[in-house]
Formats: sequence, C-alpha cells, structure tokens
Amino acid sequence: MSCDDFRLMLEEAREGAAPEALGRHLEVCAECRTFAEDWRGLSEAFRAAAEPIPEPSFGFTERLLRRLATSSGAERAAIEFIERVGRRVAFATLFLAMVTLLALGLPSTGPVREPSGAEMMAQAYQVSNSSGIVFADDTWMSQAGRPVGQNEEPAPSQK
Amino acid sequence: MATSPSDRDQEVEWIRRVQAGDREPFGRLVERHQRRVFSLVHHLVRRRDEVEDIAQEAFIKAFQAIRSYNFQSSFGTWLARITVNHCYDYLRRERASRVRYFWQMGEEGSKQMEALAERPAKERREGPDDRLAAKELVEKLLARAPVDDRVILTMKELEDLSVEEIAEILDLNVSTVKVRLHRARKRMLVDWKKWRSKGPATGSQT
Ligand SMILES: [Zn+2]
Repeated sequence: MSCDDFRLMLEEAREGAAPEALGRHLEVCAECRTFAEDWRGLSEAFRAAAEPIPEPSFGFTERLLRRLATSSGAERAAIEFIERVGRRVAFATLFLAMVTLLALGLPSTGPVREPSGAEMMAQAYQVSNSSGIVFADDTWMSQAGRPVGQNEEPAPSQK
Repeated sequence: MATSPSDRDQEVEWIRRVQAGDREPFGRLVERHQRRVFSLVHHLVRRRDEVEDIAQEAFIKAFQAIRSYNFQSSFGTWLARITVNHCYDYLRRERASRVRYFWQMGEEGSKQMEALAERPAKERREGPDDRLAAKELVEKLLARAPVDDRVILTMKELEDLSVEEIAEILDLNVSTVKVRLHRARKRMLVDWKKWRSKGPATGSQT
C-alpha cells in the first residue's frame, strides 16, 4: 500500500476506529504522521464550521404555496420581486428599531436602573410586531393586487 | 425524513396528490423536509440573507418537476438533489459575476487571511479563539475553492452525509465520489497548511 492509500484510510477513519495497518504505518512514516496531524486540524475546523440550521421565518410555507398559486409568469415575477424587497425592508426596519431603542436606552441609565439586554430585545420585538414588520410581505403583497380572499389572515398579534 | 412505514405511506399519498394537480399537500412535504433543505442551502451558500429565497426557489423547482419523481429514490434524496443543483447554479452565477466574492478573492480577503495566519503561534494553539480562527479560515477557504470541491466537502464534512448518500444526491457512483472527495480534501489541505502554518509571506498570492 502506498502512502496515498494510507492517507485515504486516514480520512475515512472516524475517531478511535483507525485500522491497525494504518497505526503501524504511522509509526514508521513521518510524512504521514505530519499529514495525520494536519488532517486532524482541518477536520476539526470543518466540524466547527457546521452551524445550526436557520429556522424558516414565520409563514414560509404559506408564502411558498401562494407563489405556486400565482400561475401567470409576469405576475409571479412581480410578486417574487416584491417579496424579496419586502423582506429586505423588514430586516432593515427591525435593525433600525433595535438601534433606535439602544440609542434611546443608553442615556437613561442614570440613577434609576439600566434596562437589561433582554428587556431591550423584548421591546424591539414588540415594536416590530405592532408596526406589522413581520408581515411586511403581506402588506406589500396586497398592494401588488393579490387575489382577494387572502386578507383574512389573523392580525399580527404574536407568534 | 420519513422514517416509519406509516410516515412513508402518508408521504407517498401526498406526492401522488400533488402529481395529480392538488397543490395543498405540497405544503406538508415542505414542512417535513424543510430542515434538510435549509441546512444544505445554508452550508452551501453561506449567506444568511439569501437562504430563505434560495430554499423557496428550490421548492418551486421541485414542485414544477414533481411529475418526474418516480419513487426510485426517497423523496428527501430527490429534493436534496434539486436543492444541491440549485445551489450549484447559484454559486456558479455568483462566481461568474465575481462581484460578491471580490472581497474574499481580492486584496481585502487576503488581508483577512493574513491576519488570521499571523496571530502568534501560542495564541492559535489552544482555546476557543483557536477554534474560531480555524472556523473562519476554513469558511474562507471553502468560499475560494472550486465550486465542485466546495459542494462535495460541504456535503461530507459539514452536512455529515455518507459517501453513499452523496453519490445518490449527486447522481454519481460511489467510487467517483470517493475519488473527488479525496482530491478536494487534498487541495483543501494544501491551502489550509499554507495559511495556517507559514502564513502568506512564503506562499503564493491569491
Ligand atoms: Zn506514509
């Protein structure tokens, strides 16, 4: 077996499950030992780069089904564009709301009490909900001449 | 994700209904498989602001092609294939435009990598800092890697799919996947060592 074969074996070996032949080769081959060390570092970095899966935003499936229902190509293109823009606006607005709240919150840290981060987050969420930001897509959608019957969705009280 | 037989039966029924023109059960399929799709898109594309749009587009493609689904592979695998292909298109387009990745390939990207590589060795040796630096570096290297390498490495090392699953999703045979994976890892390791140990001073420029 060549060094390359052993390296292939090494890549495939899960922790603590290396074949005996590989262990014997590593004892006598310094180059493959270096390779093993480098590979271990890289595979740890790979593992660190695996991130938690982002959750779909509220109404993901409904939006998708609505898009599928819109059969006319031109109309669909328009709505896709608007949904995209709508969500961008929603993100930007939420961000601005948070920044504003932080800016307003900081000077008031006088003798009273500093608002905790959690409180500020809660405030930000309230703002985002009361101003309908989460439902920005729908707002945009209705402006785009969406078919009627889509407006009976519940008011954006809370998730 | 359809594990139990009854789950599978139900899924088959949903698929048949969608194939017959009923749109509603597609929502059930989306809800059952969206985690997998989101995970693939998130790791392949690595742009949080685009994940949801790309996932929607992948589902739309699946919906449009659902009559061609013939129950040969599992629906999850079939959907993963459409998702990966869609990400491929996205990455190729992005790479071709070069606008988005300019910062990673251009001067600024190099500087960031230099900063990572130039941290004192002992600082890089242990601790969460080291982990973070390694994570950042590997993300940047993946972003610079050829699209084929990036896709196969992401599926294996980040998504933790088996070689057999990857083969099914990419519609390749297992030995081809093994060869491609080995080559991609080799290239990645060369890059990794260059930036990790020596720093860019002795390596070639980007
Ligand atoms: Zn050797």
